[in-house]
Amino acid sequence: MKTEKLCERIEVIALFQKGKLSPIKFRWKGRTHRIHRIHGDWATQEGITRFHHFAVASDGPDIYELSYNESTYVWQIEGISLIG
Amino acid sequence: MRNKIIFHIDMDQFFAAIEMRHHPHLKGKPVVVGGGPGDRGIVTTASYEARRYGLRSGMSAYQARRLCPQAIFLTPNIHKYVDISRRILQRMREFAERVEPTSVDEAYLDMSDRVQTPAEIEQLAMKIKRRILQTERLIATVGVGANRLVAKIASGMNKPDGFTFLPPDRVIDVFRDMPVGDLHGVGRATQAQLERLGIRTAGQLAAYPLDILRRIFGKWGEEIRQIALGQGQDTVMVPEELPDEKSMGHEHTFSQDLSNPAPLLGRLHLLCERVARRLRDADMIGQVVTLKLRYQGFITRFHGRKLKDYVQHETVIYNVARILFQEIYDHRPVRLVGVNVSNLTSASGSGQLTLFPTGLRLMKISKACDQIKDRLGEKAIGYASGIYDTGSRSSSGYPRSSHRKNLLYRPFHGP
Repeated sequence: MKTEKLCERIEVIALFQKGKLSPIKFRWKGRTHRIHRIHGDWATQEGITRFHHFAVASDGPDIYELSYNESTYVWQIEGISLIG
Repeated sequence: MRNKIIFHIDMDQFFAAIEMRHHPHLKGKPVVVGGGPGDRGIVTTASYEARRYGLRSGMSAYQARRLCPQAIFLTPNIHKYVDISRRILQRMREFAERVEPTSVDEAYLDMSDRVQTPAEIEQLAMKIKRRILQTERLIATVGVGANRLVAKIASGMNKPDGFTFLPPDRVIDVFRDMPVGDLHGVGRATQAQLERLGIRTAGQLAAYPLDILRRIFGKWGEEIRQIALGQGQDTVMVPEELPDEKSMGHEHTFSQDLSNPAPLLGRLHLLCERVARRLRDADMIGQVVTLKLRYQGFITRFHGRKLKDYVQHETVIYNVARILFQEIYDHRPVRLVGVNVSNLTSASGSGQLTLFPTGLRLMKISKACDQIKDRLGEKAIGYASGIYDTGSRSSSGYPRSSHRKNLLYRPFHGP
C-alpha cells in the first residue's frame, strides 16, 4: 500500500442528517467520484476549528481521506492510499 | 463486605484494527503501526498476523522488518485513535458511571452496583462488546475480577475477542503457576532479583517469607507479594478524582542522528514550549528540569537539576535545559532529545513563581501565545528556533495544509 499526501481543495456533495455528516460524492481533478462506502470517520481539533475526517472508497480499490473544516466549510482531499 | 466487580476492557490490536477497518484490504495481513523513516521508530501496535512472526509493541521497527519483511508499516495517526477512543469511552459510560481510561485502548469500569452473579457479569460483558462492535466495528476483550489487577490479568488470558471472569476463589489457582515476569509492575530487574532467590512463579512469591522480601526490596517487597496474591486496588476513578501528574515531559526521536547541535536545540526549545504549555494548562509549576539525550547506539544519558525557584515558562526551562545539554553533550551524533519537569506543585497561591518584571513580561507573552494557540491550534505560533526543525510533520502524517497558520515571532532571550 502506497500513501500519497495531497491536501487539495475539492468540491463535495454531502448529506447532513440526524446530526451526522456523510459525503456522497466528490469532484477532484475534473472527475467526479461517487462514494460507495465510508470505512471510518473521526474528528480532530486545531484551536477552535474542528475537522471531520472520512476514509472513503469510490469505484476502485483505493481509499481516499477527505476532511471537512467546520469553520471555513472547506473540503480537502488529504491523501490517497493506493492499493495494489 | 461484598467484593467489587471490576471490568477491564482492552481493545484488541487497537491502532492496527482501526487502520484495517479504514483500509479493508489490510485485513488478514501483517500490519504494523509505527516505525518511521529509516526504520528508526518503534512498533506501537502489531496486528495478530504480524505477532505470529514475533512482532511486539515496543520493538524497534528495524527488528520488526527483519522478522517480518512482508509486514505493512503504517504511520500512526494518534489524533484519529484518540478520537475513536473517546467515542468508545462514551459507549462504556452508557453502562457504568465509573469509567477510568488508563490508556487510549483500555479502561476500567466499576460494575459492582450493576451485576452480581457470574451469568449477569457475562451477559453485561457481552453487551458492552456488542455495543462497541456495532458502533465502531472494533473488537474488545473483557476481563473481570474483584480488583483492577485481577481484571487486567483476566483480560490478558483470552485474547482476542475474549471474556474471562476470575472470581476470588479462582485467583490463587490462576496465579499459582504464573511467571513472576507476567505480574503487573514486575519489571526485568525485579524479576532477575526474584529469580536469584529461586522465585519463578507468583505462587512461590506469595509463599515467600515477607520479612526477607522486605529486607531485600523494602516497601516494594510487600507490594509485589500482594500482587502475587492477586490483591490490588479496587477503586475506579473518574477524571476529577485522578491525582495530579508527578512530572511532565516530552521527547523526540530524530529521523536521522544529528551531529549539528543547532537543530537539536531548536527541537529542545519546541519540547520546552510544549512542557510549559502543559504546566500552564494544569496550573502547575516545577522545580526539577531533566534533560534526556540518546546518542547513536542507544546510549542514553539523563542530566537534571533542582532549581532554587519553581518554573513554568518555556524560556526559563529551555535556558536550564540548554545548560544541562552543554554539560553532557560530547559531540556524538544524537538520536533522541527529551525534557522533563518534575517536583510539581500547584501554581495558584503557592507564591513560588518569581514575579520580577522580566518574569511578568515573559508570562504575559506566554499567555498571549496560549490564547493564539487555543484559537488557531498548537502550531499557530512558536519560537523562531523551531524553524531549524525541518523534519516536523503534521499529526495526521500529512504535510501541513494551507489552512494552518505559521506565525513566528523573534526568539526572546529571557533572564
